[in-house]
Amino acid sequence: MAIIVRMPEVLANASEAALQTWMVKEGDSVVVGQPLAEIETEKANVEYDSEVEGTILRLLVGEGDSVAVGDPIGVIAAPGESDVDVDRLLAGAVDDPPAPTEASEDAAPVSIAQTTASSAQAAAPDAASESGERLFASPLVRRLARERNLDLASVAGSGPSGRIVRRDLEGVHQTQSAPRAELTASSSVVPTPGYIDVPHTGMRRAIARRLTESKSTVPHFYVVADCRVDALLELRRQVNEISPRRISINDFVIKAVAKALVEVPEANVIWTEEASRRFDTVDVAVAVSTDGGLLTPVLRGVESLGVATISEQVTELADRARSGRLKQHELEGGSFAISNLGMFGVDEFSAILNPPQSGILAVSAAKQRPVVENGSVVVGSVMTVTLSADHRVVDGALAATWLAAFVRLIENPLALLI
Amino acid sequence: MNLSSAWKLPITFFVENNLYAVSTTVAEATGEPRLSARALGFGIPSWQVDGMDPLAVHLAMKEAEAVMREGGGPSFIEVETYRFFHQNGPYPGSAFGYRTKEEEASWRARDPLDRVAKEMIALGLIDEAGVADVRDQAQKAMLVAIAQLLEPDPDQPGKRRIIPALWPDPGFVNVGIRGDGSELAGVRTLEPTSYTGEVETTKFVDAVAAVMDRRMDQDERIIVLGEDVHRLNGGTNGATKGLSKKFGGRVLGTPISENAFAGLGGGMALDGRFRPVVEFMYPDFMWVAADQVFNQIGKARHMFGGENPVPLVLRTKVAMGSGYGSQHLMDPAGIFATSPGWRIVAPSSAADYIGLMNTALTLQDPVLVIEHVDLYGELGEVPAGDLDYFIPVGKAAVRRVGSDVTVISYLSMLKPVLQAVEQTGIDAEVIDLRWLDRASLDWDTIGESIRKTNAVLIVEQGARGTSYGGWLSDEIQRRYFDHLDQPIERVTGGEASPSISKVLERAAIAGTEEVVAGLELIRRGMGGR
Repeated sequence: MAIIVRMPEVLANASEAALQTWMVKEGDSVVVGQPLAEIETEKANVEYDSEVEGTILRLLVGEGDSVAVGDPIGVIAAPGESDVDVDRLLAGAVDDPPAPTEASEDAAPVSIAQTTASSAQAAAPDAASESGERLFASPLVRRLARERNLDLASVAGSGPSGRIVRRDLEGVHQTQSAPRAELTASSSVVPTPGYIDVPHTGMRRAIARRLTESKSTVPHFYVVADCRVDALLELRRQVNEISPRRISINDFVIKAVAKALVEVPEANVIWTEEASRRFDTVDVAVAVSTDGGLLTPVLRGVESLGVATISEQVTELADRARSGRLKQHELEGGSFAISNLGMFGVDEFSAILNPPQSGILAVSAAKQRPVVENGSVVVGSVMTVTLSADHRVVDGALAATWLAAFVRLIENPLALLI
Repeated sequence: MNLSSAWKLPITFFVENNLYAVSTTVAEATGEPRLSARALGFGIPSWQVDGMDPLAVHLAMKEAEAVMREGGGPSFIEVETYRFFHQNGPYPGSAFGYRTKEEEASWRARDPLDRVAKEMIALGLIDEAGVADVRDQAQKAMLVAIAQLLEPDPDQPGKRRIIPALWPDPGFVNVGIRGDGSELAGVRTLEPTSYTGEVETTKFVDAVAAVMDRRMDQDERIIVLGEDVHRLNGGTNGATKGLSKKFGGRVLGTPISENAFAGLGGGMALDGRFRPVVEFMYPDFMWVAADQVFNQIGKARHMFGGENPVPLVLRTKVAMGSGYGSQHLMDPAGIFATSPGWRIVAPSSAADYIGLMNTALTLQDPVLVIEHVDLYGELGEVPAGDLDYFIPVGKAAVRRVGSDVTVISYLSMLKPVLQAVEQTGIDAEVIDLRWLDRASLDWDTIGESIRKTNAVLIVEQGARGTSYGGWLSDEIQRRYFDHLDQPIERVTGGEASPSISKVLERAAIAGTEEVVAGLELIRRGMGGR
């Protein structure tokens, strides 16, 4: 039986999403887990994977179109199925729209019944594919994957019943890097006199849309402070003498942000239409620059993490962000974000809020500057930070209180190790 | 019996009629309980004598001997005797209730040992003490023999057991199923695929007759046995053309009695003085000869310790496509390949046939040589004037080099396979097995190909059930599991035996179209978009 693919509710409570790019075309055969489309959510661009196997009969939504969650976006015929009346299927589907997951469960037993045409083909793999969890790969492919250390989960099988076969491995590097290749300018640049047009990627569109929306709908205000970081730099030096991994200034900043949010819990809050939502734990988003643009994976429960653990987790999230392997849920949530451009030597900057977060701290470089100490000018290491806050839930006094707490913590960094 | 009568063979059938088959009496089992009466139907002189009287038996045997020595052919002696005990074990049959103690006592009273003693005492040749001595002597001899084999069982007091050291090593279990092929050492081999010398064109079936002619000329032990092999100018297909004229007494046209003449061949092979070449007109007739073919010839060497070779060649022709109907159109390869002892060759060309037949006729094992009616008429090139080369055991031929799939086939299916490969454009590697049995399969060639192609299609013509590819597929998936990129696919005929209707016969067997379908299945399995 053919399956209607519906716009997924990628984000909780989202009512609509935009289909950015189709990754399949009509007539393609797809397997469970194969990406169908890039779907633009408020948070990021996600690849929406097929939950069934079969052949793409029809794509119902154009690239760039925004569609209500649950609306049909495509039709997939079950393996071996032909002669599907798509229009009738869609007409019948309107009244009783099943959730996509239900549809996939319906589909599997039917696909078994329909593969009995060839006795050789109606073997166990079909039956087992019901679960949608097992990955079917030929014995050869499993051996090669072992030898070459390949992750077959990212390989689409083109053999019968979606089995991953030898041919599928021939392009496996391209398969895995294809989305990333599009992001680099060189592969899709059309040279013209005087300028080049780099076509928008889904991610670039998402960044543009979301930040425009944030800057134009969220009332930002800014609070700036200079932090004396001589003690922090010294502490970091000492810590790094004994630490097996290199702890960065940013790791301390993350910890200080978390601690400040614990000390000033009123600031650990986001705006929703009905209420101000105050959180029990501190989830902090960390901006990571990738070739394709900015990603903000979220570090959870930072209030209870040590600096070393924070360092470890940030590195891991950043690595995966840069290799395109972040999961959607890792990009969601958080009440606060940190953007650090210190490594570029900037003196100060301000950041745009990343909704629904209510605060973002723009961290610049720690530099030696003249500072007044006990009435005389001395040389000190200073790092300027700028808090951007959502005035709907954070008033000026609250922002100032929080920032004062942050400055005190970062200037007395031993507290961060407790 | 019929064969011995027809050919006036000097053989005596000596039947000890002990009246019972386990618990069933002869009288229950037949309407003519005089077993000796059967021989009369075949024109064989026959005697029924008291088997409890050694002198009577001796006299009957003297008469039978006279018949044989006079050239009168076979004879038949039925001796009436008795099985004192049950079929096995130390208890009398009466203990099991199928006969009375009185019956047993009446036969005990006729004990031939007692009778001989009584008569000899009456003639004054021995006295009571002498008889007792002889009996004692015999019993002692038995005890000595037993002592060599048995010892007290330490685990079961009062019982004996076979001395543990006398048991064979379990590792011997598969030793001697076939010979080791050392009889082929030093023979001149020739590989037709790489032969570059002078060639001549011959019909396949003429090559069959020619190589047999050559071997019979060189080796006078060779005897050909089969239905009509001596007439019709070389049997029904001309495969033995010219042989009976040239080698008069060595080409024996048999009655329709596969079990009999296969058994005769098996006996000759075990004896070793002759090299029987048995022909089954159609492979399906192996079923009526199954006891001799599978139960005796195939098992004999191993059954008797692996020392006694069974050099026998069994020729038969697959006749699918000839319209001879359901009982004539099987491919025997699958049945023989799954039965112990037999080697199997299936030549696809005249040049291969010559080399493979020479090897078969030199091997000290039973070898099934499968021919095909479709091949008989085909013209092929063979090395000119050379009927003496050998193709080694276990050497397959690659008929086409390719990289997409390994197609394994044999006999008449090579041609449709190559046609189908051409039609589909799939880059198949085509292997002609030549040797089909478990011990002689060319795993080197098969393995090398599978490691390259990662896909296998086994192609054969005949019915699915008794097909050859089943066991081969099983073997391949275990040997090369990690090299397979898709299931091993098979092309075979249908479930039914091809029936006599042309249309149904074609529908029941595999041809080029079916191979094309098989290759397309493989193509789907290769994936790719």
